[in-house]
Amino acid sequence: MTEKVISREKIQDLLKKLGESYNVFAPVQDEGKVLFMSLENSSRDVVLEFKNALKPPKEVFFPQTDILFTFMKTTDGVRSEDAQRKKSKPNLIFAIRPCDVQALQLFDKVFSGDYQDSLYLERREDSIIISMVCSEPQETCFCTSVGGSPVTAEADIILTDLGDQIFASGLTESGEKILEDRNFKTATREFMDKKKEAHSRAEGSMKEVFNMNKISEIIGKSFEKPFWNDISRRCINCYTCTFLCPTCHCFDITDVKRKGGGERIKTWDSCMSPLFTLHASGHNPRGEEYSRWRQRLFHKFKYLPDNLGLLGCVGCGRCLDTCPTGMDIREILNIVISEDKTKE
Amino acid sequence: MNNIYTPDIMKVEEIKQETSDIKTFKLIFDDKSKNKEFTFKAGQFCQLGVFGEGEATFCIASSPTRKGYIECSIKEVGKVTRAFHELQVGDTVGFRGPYGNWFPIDTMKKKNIIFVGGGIGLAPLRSLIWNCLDLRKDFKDILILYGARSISDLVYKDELKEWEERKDIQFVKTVDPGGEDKDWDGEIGFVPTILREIKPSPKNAIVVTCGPPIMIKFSVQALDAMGFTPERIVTTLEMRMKCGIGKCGRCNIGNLYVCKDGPVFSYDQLFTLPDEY
Repeated sequence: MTEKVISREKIQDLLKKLGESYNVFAPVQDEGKVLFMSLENSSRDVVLEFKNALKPPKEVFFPQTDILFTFMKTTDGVRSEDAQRKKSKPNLIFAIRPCDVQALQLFDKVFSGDYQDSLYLERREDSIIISMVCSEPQETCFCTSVGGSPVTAEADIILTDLGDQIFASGLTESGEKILEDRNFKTATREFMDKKKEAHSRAEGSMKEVFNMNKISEIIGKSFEKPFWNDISRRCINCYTCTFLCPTCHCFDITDVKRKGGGERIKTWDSCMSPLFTLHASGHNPRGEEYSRWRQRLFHKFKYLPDNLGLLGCVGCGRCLDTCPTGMDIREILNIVISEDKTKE
Repeated sequence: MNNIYTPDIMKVEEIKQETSDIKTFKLIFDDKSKNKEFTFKAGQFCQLGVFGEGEATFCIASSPTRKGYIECSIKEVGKVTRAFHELQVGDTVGFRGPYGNWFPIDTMKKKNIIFVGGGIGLAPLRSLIWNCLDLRKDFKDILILYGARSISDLVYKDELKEWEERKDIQFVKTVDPGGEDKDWDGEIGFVPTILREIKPSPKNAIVVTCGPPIMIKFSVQALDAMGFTPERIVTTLEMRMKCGIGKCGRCNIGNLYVCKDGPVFSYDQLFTLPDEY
């Protein structure tokens, strides 16, 4: 593993250079919020002093609206054409938090398999992930409770903010190649020690908010429990929790009609919407609020682990941080766990 | 890499009005070579779309033994199906599929087959019925019980007549009480009631059923009382779907996706799943 440091003021220069070979997505300020944006069409300064971005950068690979193909009416019917997916350069995400990196592992599994989603996979192909250690996790963070860590990530490079200097560890061949840039200097023992300190401080600040042990099994037993109704009562169906969730990947497919043709689009959808499962007949298998909340938790903590071997929660805390009615998935999981114990 | 969401272009070859709100569309691929290559199995479904209106999920209602085309029977209930009902012969639709699993036709061979259908629920059964009839000698006794609310709600009327006239199968048609007229020569009564009256033997038999949930529920109860074990009762489920390939996240029952693990399930499977369909 290559370990280097880069001085904070050189970051802009580094990103400029990376921009020659990659489409760089980095955290920038947008009306008081931090969001990942492509630096290709943005002159905004990259910010490194942020807890986490409002939206996870999942949309780099899974845009909120994705044109599947366009179609046009012709004299003898309709012709469809794959949408032009301009991808002159591979994508690079800079300073993505470890939880959001973990979420990409799940996305990779969902969009590959026996049916390969080329729209996702082509954007993901040759992409570079540069992660940033969470030196100061937030109150709402709970990555360590779902098997994650604020200081490690399946990335190409992981950065640790040491103030004037940023520590950089190359984790893959492509990552190490980027660290060959002359903005990076070899890390001295002093920096290595500082990095270690920062990591243990970050890890130490994380509390285990629930016991993940057997969570899939415990949740699995709770389907018929009466508490789902009480738990979900505060939900107002705004879908924010699912749209801002780094692992939520459910989508809709609809048509947009334009003069002489149109396009078929894939858009983010939410299991919290009653329309999500509404049959044309009017029947709805998950027509009630509690059944949708149950589905959301079962999907994340039972079905995804069963089917793909990964939890559908990375502990980023966005859902509880942004819920307009203050619903907290940690509290709800704790209710599920404690109700399970009560029974025994 | 192929775009899995891009449909094949198909042309409407024929449209048949089945009931006041159900039409059967015979479709052929625009790419003639595809008509020869295309294969599917009875029970599989497809995503059919009218460009500009959207896609929806339909079972393939024709038999895989009838090659060169597919048929889908579509009831007008929403935006996409309304667009289908406005189509004319020669119009273009988009097709993705075939998706999902299929009826266990191989294990049905050398067995007595009982079809229990209600309303538009005959559509997926029709694929399998013709499949079995086209390979008639592979199966033992075949019983088809089909019912609808009223005479005018019966689909595939010409084929019902054909099945009625065949000597090598037993065909029973019924309409709900009040759905008959003075010329009606079939049974009068709900499908589960008639099923109890026929009382087919569970010996060496497999039941394949599809219809309104209430019909299925009481038919399964009746079959259970007659001694049919759950693994011998097979059905096909409906669920709202978008992708059809296990990604969009909405058609699950428990951890199974109706689009990929189904739509065909036997009752021993369904009994282990949460009641959320």
